Amino acid sequence: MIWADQPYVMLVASLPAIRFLSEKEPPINRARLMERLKYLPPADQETLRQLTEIVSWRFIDVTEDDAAFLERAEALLARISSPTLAAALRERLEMRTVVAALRRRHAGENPPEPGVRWGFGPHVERIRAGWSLPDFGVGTFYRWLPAAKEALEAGDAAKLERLLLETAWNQQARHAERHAFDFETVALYMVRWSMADRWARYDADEAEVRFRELLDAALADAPDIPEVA
Amino acid sequence: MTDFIVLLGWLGIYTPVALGALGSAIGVAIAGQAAIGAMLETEAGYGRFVGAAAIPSSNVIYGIVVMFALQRTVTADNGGALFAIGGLLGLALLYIGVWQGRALASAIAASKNKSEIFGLAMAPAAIVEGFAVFAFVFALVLAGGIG
Repeated sequence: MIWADQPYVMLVASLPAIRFLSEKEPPINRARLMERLKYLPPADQETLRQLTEIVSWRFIDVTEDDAAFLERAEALLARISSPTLAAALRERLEMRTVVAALRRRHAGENPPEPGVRWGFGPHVERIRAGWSLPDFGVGTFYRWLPAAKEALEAGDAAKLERLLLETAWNQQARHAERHAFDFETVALYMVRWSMADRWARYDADEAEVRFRELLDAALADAPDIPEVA
Repeated sequence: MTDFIVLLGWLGIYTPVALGALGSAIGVAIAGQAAIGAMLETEAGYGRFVGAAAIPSSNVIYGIVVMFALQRTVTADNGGALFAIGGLLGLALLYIGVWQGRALASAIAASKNKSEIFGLAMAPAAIVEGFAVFAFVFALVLAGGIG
């Protein structure tokens, strides 16, 4: 039906536009966003929760086994009925796979053993086989890969973070263009909000590290203060 | 057969009102929901959001006017013409109402972030309104030619 998707109109209209990297904080805070998302039907809320658990680093358990994470992601992909959301999730997981390969190789790790589940997407085996190649032999599929490798090798964590978030942001924005007032719009908004939030927090973390460095430098020359007994 | 054509004629007379009302109701409901959503995120300008949401109401007014223009004794001679004009206008008004509502919802959602684009954002909905006026005026012209 042409008007069947209208429960989302009010919710979408209540979400402020997010301008990535141009704002210090997301235009809506987590508490208010969660309050707004309560307008979604329960089934959509559950799908959104599962999607966020896969996509958002905030909810990812870094100690979780790769195979277990991939199993969860694939189970979610099988449940998602929206082709747009499934495509967006696949793209995100593929990107994570390539970045994971870059980081592992940079850390001096050997390629994953054949048969071990470590990544997602159609190029996993090609990446493993091309471990010694600068772009793993998949540079034509991931245009951002050479720049990411360069930033990683230069130790420029901020540049790498910005590049990856910007690439992921553009991917999500491309998917969102085809939707206006539906669940996909809300879900992709949530994904982009997570990225903006991560970027804002990333800056905060960086500022904290810098502040400590400055504090240590300033206190290095200061006379010792006797401890209170 | 004559009775069937007369029935079609009566359907044609009332369809612009019925489908025009449906189009208006759906269009206003869509744009109205967007207006309510926008109000959650803005501190001022609520009135213009609600005003914009009411724009699809015009469809049912066009339908009522055409209903009066079509209203006459329905016979086997004029039943087909009444059905064709009223039925097609009604469909047009229904469709226009729904899509005008969507255009308005987009305009409201966009202008809550950037209030200076409010007028320009209304342009697509205004153009859609123009198409409703075309359908309305020419339905009146044709209604005048029915015996």
